[in-house]
Amino acid sequence: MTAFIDSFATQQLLPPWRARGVRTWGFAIRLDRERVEAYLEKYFNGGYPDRAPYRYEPLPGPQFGLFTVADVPEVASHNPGTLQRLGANPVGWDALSYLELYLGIPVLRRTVTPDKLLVDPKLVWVQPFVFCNNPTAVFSSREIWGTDVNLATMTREAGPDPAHLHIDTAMVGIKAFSPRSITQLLACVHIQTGDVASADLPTMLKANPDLERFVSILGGSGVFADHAPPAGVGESPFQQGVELDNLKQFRDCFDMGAAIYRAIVASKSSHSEVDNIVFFDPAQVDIDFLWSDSIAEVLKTIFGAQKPGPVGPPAGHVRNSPPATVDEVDWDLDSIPIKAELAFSFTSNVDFEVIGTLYTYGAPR
Amino acid sequence: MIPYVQSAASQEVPPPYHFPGVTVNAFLWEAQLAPIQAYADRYLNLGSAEERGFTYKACAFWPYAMLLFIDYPVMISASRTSEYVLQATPYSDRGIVTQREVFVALPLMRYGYGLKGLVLDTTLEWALPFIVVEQPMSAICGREMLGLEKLKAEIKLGEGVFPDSFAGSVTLPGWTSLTQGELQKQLPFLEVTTGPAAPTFRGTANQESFWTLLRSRTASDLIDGLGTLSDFVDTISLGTMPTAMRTISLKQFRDAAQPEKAVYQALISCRSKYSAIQNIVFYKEPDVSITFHDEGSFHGILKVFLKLPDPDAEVAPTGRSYSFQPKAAYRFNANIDFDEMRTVHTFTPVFPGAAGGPSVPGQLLAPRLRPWQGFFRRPGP
Repeated sequence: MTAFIDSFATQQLLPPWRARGVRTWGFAIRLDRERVEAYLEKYFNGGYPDRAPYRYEPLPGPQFGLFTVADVPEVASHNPGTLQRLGANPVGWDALSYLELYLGIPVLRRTVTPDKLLVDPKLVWVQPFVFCNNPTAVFSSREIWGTDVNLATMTREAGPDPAHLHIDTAMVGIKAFSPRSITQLLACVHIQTGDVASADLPTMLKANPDLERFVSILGGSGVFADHAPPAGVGESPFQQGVELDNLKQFRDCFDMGAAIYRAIVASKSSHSEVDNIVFFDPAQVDIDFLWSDSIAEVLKTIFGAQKPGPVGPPAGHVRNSPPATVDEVDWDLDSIPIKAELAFSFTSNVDFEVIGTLYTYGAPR
Repeated sequence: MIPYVQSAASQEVPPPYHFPGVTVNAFLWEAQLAPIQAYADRYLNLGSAEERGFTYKACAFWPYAMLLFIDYPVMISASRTSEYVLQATPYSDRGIVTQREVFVALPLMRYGYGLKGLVLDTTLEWALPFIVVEQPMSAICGREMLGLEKLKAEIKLGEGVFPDSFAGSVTLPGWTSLTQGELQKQLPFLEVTTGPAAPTFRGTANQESFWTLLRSRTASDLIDGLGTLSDFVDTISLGTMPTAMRTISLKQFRDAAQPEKAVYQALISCRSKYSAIQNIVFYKEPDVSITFHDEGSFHGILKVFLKLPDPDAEVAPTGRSYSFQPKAAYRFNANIDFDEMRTVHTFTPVFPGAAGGPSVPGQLLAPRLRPWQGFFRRPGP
């Protein structure tokens, strides 16, 4: 490899980085095994033309994903390269803030031996979609560790209770595909929490036993690090659970159907100083996607959703077509509610680091 | 070939594009050759001239930086094939994108190596050290597909105080000072204001303006005819006469574990072809004000295309604003086709035979000679 030539446009958030005072909300949602499998087949298991020596599979049993919202007030790079760039007179080109929303799915990665045996099962997370409102964070995520992030407009409504969440995510898209349609700032996801859960976690798990193992996986993933896990959180059946695997790929400039680089990159996030753990009543949590043709593919392939009837936007938002200005979010869309099975929030510091490039497609072996 | 797997969440629209009815506001000022050459050496002249087969040099015969504010009311995907989106709706049938873009273009001559290279591969290209857009999708496409170092900015364009004048501004995420840990914020980067388009009774006397050179009826007719002429020249010369702007950019990606290393580095050239140029008007340049803000993280890029008048700015960001008048300022409407994306040279192929791999004869060939390439090429196997 040759040296990367830093420029004005690549003042990026180089890993590893540390975020302080992060408030995270997690919402467990039920997923369909076949759709998780189809996602893994398309992005991780296919031949391109060579196959990675890994096999990604859904976990056995009921499938769950975790919608996560993170409010990151300050994140800064701890990369030695950034420190060198800062030099003897350090400059602060590394601290920024952002809001982020993503779906994480825990899956099983097995190593494929040369004689085609599947060994060494390991729990890793994959992220079918991510929204973030900071361009620097988006460019860094996409171009360095390969997360498929979309730059979005995200608005978090501040309230008296810091654990309460009302966040709206919008992105530039097209409501209904047609050669004459015009891009707009379209509402995309609405999430709002209600009251704190009156029942404790063991009671909630007793009412929804499918969740037990998922909650133990969350425990194994470090969500309750440096903190006694809440009652009801059992030991994870998997030894690991902090690794995130991404498909990092870039198109050729001439043949947009070809990749000039395609690799599986592993990274990990570690929580520390976890505090302020709150469980919400999942029945009072609103998670609504707003249907537009621009995000229909995600809704269909991940959630099996179909175009809704004229139900309108979620409560608290009204149809406003056309919006008064181009910067205003268009809510004249129909919502698709997603049921939260479990909802919680906590504060922590988060350390992120790249573990390495697991496999580069097409590279000579 | 390794196929690119289109993500269901992806909002990108790959080029080529067709932009009808574009409004361009252009501003030229004298640039210094030394920093432009330093830019070319740092980002384009990697490795040895013998290895890469060419050298980029600043244009002594046209030492100007060009600032363009471009308003694209319509962006249409002009791809003839839809296989990149698998079974989904082809990009060209999805709808249109509105877009605003601002960039600074620096002319560079690419000289081929050796006598043959000097004759066949020498051509004029434009580097865009600063380019910002307001559409996230455009920024991602430019960066990841073409190596154009687009940043997402807030861009305001419109009429200034006087009718038929122009006002534009750019704000960007950045850092103001040299203090460790300072939080990024949205900062002003650039503002431009003009007087009304000439002729006008407002502002400085007409005879003081570059525009007066073009006041004669003959010159006016000539300018009006330029759009038609460029189409005509393109038609009769089968593309052998350059009538379009070709950009050159370094497309590179960091290694995940060692971000100071690149897993891919290549020079990419693209063409912006202007046609149906019309409604050309000039602003009186003494009445134009261009202001750049020398904030902490903006300092390095300003020094590429601007001579900062403050001696303090030689060593560090000053936090001050610098205003000046350009040598020429004008506006026109045109249609733009963005196409002909080529890998001119690959410095770091991921593996032999990768798409966009080592440069092959013809990718370096000067555009004026490409129509003749097939005629003189040796028969292949």
